[in-house]
Amino acid sequence: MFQKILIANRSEIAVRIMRTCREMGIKTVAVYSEADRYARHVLEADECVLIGEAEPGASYLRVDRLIEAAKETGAEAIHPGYGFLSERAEFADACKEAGITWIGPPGEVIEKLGDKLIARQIMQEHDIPLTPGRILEGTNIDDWKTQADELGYPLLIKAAAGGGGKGMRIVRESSEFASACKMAASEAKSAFGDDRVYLERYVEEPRHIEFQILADNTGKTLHLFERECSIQRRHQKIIEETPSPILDEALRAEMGEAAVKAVQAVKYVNAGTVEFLFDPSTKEFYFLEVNTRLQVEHPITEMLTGLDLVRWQLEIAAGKELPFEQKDLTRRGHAFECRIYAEDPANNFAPSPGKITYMKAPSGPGIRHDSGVYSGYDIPMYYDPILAKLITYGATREEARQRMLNALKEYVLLGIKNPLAFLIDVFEHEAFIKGDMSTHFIKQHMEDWQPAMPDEDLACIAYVLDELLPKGAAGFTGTAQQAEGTPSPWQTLGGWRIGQS
Amino acid sequence: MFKLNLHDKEIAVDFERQSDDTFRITIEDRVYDIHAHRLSANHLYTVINGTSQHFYTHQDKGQKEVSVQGRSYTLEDATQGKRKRRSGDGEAGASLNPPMPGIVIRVVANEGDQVSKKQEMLVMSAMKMETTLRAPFDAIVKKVLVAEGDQIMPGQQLFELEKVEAEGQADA
Repeated sequence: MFQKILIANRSEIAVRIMRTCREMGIKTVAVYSEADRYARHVLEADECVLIGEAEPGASYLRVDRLIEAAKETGAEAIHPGYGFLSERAEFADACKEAGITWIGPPGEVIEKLGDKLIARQIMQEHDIPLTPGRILEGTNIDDWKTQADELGYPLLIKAAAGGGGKGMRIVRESSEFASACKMAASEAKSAFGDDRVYLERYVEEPRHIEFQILADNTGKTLHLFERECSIQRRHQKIIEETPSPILDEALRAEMGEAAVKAVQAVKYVNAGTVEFLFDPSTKEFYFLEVNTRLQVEHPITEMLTGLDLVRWQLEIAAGKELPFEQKDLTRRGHAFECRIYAEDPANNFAPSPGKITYMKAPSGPGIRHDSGVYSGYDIPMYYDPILAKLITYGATREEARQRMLNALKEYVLLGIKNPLAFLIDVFEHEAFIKGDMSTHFIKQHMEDWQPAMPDEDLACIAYVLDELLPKGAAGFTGTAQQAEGTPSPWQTLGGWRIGQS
Repeated sequence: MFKLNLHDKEIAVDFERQSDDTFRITIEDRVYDIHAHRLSANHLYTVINGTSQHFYTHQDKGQKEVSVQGRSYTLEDATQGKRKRRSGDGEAGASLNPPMPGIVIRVVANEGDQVSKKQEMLVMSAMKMETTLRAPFDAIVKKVLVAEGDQIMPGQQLFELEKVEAEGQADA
């Protein structure tokens, strides 16, 4: 096993990876930009190395600086986390060249799966279902109509030369096809200078369902069940859960098998996620893409299976074989995750940087909090605004939902705008309670959300009492105190390298 | 008696202190009998009409942020005079105050333009996102103070606006 690992990332994921390293007796090296000297991941590492200026391009995306930092500290392996360089083949290759173990799939696998066209081709060759589509042949609109009828409705007409919704039309009936096609083509022509269009099956209420996979060096590939991530906003996930309320055992087995097959096709190693689009009206699923890294929402799979995915990533990278089979993997209960971002859901989710003046996360059985911040922390504005993830686990979906609701109500986060009240409203929503969701959920139910003010009287009472009960006396200082359980920079300042500023 | 401003709503709060830790607070015709104990600078434990409540508070200059049951409320003392609004501050979604340091991508409103409340005036980039700043009220743009590519900071004035008063509109 490795003696020392460098984590090429920041915030909550770096903190989470380092926790497993510590548990395994592995020394940790954090890297930081000038904006992150007192970021939580730096405070908790055994060693830290300054790698550049605040802008990610000058620091967290610098392959050369990261390799240098690993060499300087003697780190034997690098864990890239998620985002940043985690899905860049060149980083994986650079590690290999420098004799540093890359914790993830090999560079050529990352490259193949990173190219959407190549990935889809590979899936097609291996009979993994793709979104049914049709490249229009010929020039006769009647021929096209026949092809459209063959594909089936509803369908999407898409521009071949570009995206962003231009040249895109939904067609629900055969009779609408001809005119919709003409409009799409002319729109495509003016947007991209190319009037070619193609057809794709349109899923009305799609559900985003992904499968976690784990593969070792012998080719043994297993899936660790699914995660449903349908509660999204502008393609950014907000809430994830497992198991998916819509899948039955047969579907689960079928999709799990497809996921395993998909990554085996490229000789995948280590952890990854296969994303599918699920059409509840036809119970069909279509391959979307493979994420060749650990995902943000991996904790809910950990709650469900009892496995530490980061630990298995390290074991596989160190050459260990998976000691269990697919049949040995069981799932128990239900888990939810809420992503806590520094954003204001009442103001179009505008980012809300600033200082966390006071923070107190909930705790208790079945509650997990993966945090990258602490009370008193100044959130820099250069990076992804994720602060923490709140995860709950229960014996049933309803139990886990109630646990999350209570945990959200106990969560205190002052000084910045945050989505806690928004998340509470989602978890109390009738449709959510029924498990009735698609990727349109937020749009359908939470558009123009504004916080309710049910406790105005209590808020006023709090104000008055805060004024009347002095802070100055009996040892309470006037400044924000550290909430229990969060590190104070003054208590946890780790080692640093002499000679580095 | 406190006169509080809670998200632009004025609320009168009457109180009677009966001992170090017991109070009677009245809001309109609702009466609350309270036992309160401070646990830390930010944390108050109370029992209100028989039910316990935890309050978390943080004071930032003239404003107090309060967390009750997972929801945040921002209050201030209404008797301190109307809060001085920074230039261009308006309702949620209509503010010309940069929410964070960033770069101007596009100046949409020009000198001499008449803009209406919430109209798009400037697009800035920060924290990997594009944010649109909108007119806080109906106005005429007297002067544009920034240009594409400029770095802007919270509290910085971006435009000189002359407010267009509609009939019966209260002064901000």
